[in-house]
Amino acid sequence: MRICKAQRRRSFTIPNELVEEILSRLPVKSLMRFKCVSKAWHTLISSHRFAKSHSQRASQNPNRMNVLVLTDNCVLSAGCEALFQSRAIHGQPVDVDFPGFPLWGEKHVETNLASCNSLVCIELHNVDKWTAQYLVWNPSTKSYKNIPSPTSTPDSYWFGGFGFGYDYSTDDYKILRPYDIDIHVSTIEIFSLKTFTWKTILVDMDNNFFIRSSIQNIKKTIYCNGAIYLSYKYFWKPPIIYFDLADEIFHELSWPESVSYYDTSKTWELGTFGEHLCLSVCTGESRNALCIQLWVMKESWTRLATIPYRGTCPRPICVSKNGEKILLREKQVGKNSEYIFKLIVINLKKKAYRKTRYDSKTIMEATTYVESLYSLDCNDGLNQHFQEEGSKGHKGNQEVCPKGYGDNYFQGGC
Amino acid sequence: MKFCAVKQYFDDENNNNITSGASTTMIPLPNVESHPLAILITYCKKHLKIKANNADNKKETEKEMEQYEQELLKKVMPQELTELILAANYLNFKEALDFFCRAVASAIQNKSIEFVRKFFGLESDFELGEEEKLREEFAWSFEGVDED
Repeated sequence: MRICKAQRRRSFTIPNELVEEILSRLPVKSLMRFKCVSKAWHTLISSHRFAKSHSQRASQNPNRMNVLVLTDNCVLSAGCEALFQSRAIHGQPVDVDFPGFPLWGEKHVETNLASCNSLVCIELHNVDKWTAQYLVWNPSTKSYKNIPSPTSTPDSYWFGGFGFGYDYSTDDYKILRPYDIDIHVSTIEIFSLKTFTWKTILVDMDNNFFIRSSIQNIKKTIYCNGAIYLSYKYFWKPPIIYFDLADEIFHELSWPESVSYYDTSKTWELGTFGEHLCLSVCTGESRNALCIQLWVMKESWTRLATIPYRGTCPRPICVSKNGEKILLREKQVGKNSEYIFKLIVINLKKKAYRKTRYDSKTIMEATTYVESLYSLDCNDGLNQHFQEEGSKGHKGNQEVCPKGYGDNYFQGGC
Repeated sequence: MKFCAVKQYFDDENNNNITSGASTTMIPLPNVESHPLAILITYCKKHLKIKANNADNKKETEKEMEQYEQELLKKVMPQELTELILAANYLNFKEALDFFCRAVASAIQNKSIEFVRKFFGLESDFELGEEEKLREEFAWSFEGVDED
């Protein structure tokens, strides 16, 4: 009997497809380390196909969704679910030391964020010279890419504001800069991460006053389902303008009908609620009966909640796993014209909100990202094995590298 | 029937021989040892029982399953997980496969390269210096790793 048992304890080797099943359930940090296990594992983990399936699995796992917070001197990352569960949340500091791209310390420079899926686009906007620099980054793998400057349109026609999103039709990430040139046509500069170039297109504004107005007054953009939504300064329920990345046309989305707009806060905000667009607006019958209303766009506008609230309309950031809580960011102007930022958690079930302390730092911007292996040096789908010194860029795309930039222009590793 | 491979066998049998009595049919499972099979049968029965008890409440089902899974993991050795994965895969038992893969992922998540190589029976096939280069490149991912 004993001998039989000993014979049974032979070691089993797991076939590759089952190894993949196991690895696809690991967090990115472990996977990056396990690239060092063997050549086969390195190839598998670095492959575009595995990154895609890992990312799909991650997007369904609420524990892989994180909030990135930009303060006035650091960047912090915290798990979404953790943020909803405690009162004072502590984020992990994130290394954002990008050579030639300082997030703080420069005079007249505003740092703005836009995220889409697992990537974050950072803009350094010099409000004195009215120029901007961009960088696209995957906080999970720490890989990033400096984006070449936009090419053609004079900056004087740019009113500020940029968008970042994913185009389903070409499996590509794009940066968008809309310019207002004349009353009939808007110039849009679009940067494609795949081709690594900017292109300029003219978009018919259809004599639409709101499209023009939105481009001239962009506060923030939100990516949702293949389109970039513009959150702009305008009162009295203006139509929500969005740019579809696939058909490259502006579209209008009207407000929910039953919102009565009491004009005190003068703002409305867009965010996302899971995969859907979320609208927050401060409204009410009178100055003493103000409340915040949250709406979600599914097939049509659905009201989530109306909660008594006094303050500047906060922007939705993310929703909890069970759909009961929403995290929002509020930006108020203080007595000395300084900005006061707060993170707010609204409990939809209890119809109440609380302001949450976030490490007592000044929060400037908050956005979400999903963990992924997407590597900014390997996005052409080829396996990048052991990259040679000084040419970390993807070999397949060197012919579309803008003139004047050499190999050492590409920075960041897989 | 959760063991899809077995179900397939039954379906095939029924197509070929209508009069065969299901209760006396012996199904050969050459790739599954009796020990992991026993665990899988218990897992399956428990899963179906919990599901039946909480017919409408998906949340409760999930919660109870999680509790049962935690208990089960305490009794199973990490090395046995490999056998269980292979068995669940052979039997085409999706829920168990998902669970045991998650369990292995959880077990190796914070472990060192050496531990993982030992666990999967792998050896380093990198050229001289290549592995060091990679370790340097991804040094940040080695922070906070469990001691072996």
